[in-house]
Amino acid sequence: MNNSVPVSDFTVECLKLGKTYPPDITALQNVSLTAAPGEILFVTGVSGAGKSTLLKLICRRESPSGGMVMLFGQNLARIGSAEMQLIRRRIGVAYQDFRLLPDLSVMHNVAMAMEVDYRPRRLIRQRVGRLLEQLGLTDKERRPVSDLSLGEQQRVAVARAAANQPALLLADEPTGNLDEKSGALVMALFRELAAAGTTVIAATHDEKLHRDSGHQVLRLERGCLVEDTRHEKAY
Amino acid sequence: MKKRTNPIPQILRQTGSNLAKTWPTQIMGLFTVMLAVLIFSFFLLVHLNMLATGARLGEELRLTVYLEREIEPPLMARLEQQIRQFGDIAEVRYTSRQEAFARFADQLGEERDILDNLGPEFLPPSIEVTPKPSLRSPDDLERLAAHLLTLPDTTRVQYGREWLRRFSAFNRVLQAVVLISGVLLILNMIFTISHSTRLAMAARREEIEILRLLGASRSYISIPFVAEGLLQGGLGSGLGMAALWLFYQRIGNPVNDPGLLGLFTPSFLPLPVTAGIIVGGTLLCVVSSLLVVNKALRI
Repeated sequence: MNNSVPVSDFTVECLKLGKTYPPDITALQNVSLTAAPGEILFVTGVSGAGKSTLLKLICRRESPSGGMVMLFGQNLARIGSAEMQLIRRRIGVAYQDFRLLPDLSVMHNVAMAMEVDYRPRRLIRQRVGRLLEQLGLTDKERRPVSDLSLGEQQRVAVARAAANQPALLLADEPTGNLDEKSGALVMALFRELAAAGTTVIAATHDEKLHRDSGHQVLRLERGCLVEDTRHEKAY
Repeated sequence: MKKRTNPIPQILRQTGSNLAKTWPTQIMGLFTVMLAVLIFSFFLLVHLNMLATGARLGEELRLTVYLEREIEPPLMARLEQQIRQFGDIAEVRYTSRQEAFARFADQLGEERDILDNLGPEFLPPSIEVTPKPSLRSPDDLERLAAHLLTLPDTTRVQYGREWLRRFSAFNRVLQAVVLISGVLLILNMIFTISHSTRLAMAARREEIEILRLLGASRSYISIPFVAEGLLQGGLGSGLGMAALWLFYQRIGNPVNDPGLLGLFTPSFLPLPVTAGIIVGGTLLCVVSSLLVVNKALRI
């Protein structure tokens, strides 16, 4: 067994990443990117540009048809399923369709991310309470998720993704159902996490979210990377 | 470094939540396991008691060789030697006409006066042959009887041949029933627990998928289901044995009635056998649910 710890300056490295769905639908083509700890990266583009596919490949919900994804210095293609589960605990994902359990309470849904990591109950209560407060959901804590509006459910999904103070947070359209005020709460949380070292990658088609934010933006078009503000280079 | 906590309370909570979601299936599963264990252990109880009864009766088993005439001690010594040559003979005892008459009179008790006008002549002298426990199968006894018939002055050999054959056949049937019910018990448990685990997993499919996306380990997901199997197996087997014990209390005592000449003195299953059935049933349920969960999580 190889005990050496891979060393990388980046949380995420994608190299010539491609994804083709059968029969012949190209969702992503030759996309390369890096994201460092503490960085907030917006992936933008119109619907169907490949934003969600890119996030799915990064968290290995799907496998790439070509290229390579490195997470925390490890090639995802070479990681066994047990080790991948350990890595998943270091990644928070806010899914576009939320992936919440409607019958469970808001508190329980958010706590799940910490429970699978066997975190102490007291710490879970503390952390979840704080996150719900930050996202304006304190009064909904004990309500089942099915009772919440879409915007509230979206904030619960973001809270769950942030619960474990992950090293990498992936958010797919995190403000898609939010008003400006709630969107600002989510962005404030992302900034707080990034300040603590979390790499945040958010896929969004909401220009307002990243415009003038000073954060890096990658633009996808038809599965290809056409703009990377870090390199000020058009593809 | 992140603080970790003891996973057991979390697993127990998950198990409780599973049970709350699928309790009708769980109760059906529990009832089926209980019934399977009850049926199997009932047949085992009857079989073991029949074997014990057979062993008790075997201790009293004797072959009586009726002779044409009284024989003198030197001839008896020769005959005994011939009988013992067959092997596995515990005891050989000569009974003269006089001894047979006295024994018969004893057996008649208060009715012995019917022998007043009779002498011992009407009873034949005999040799009683007691085989060792190793020589008690119907076939062995038949061979022994054929050997005894070759002795000089023998008129006939008597023992409960037909009864022994029937008893032995009945025991063989019972043994087959125990084996078949054992196999059915195993199949039934595997089917029941697999089915209820599958239903429990289906009821929590969405939750399992989310748990996997959150990085839950395979054991974190599977242990609550296996714990359910453990609970169903342990409780079902325990209740099955308890039901058998109650049944035994109601039926065992009347069977033990002196009116049945003490032929049956039933006893409950020995403690190691009882514990073995409960542990075996529990293990079977645990393994069944483990197999289903592992298969489901591999996909």
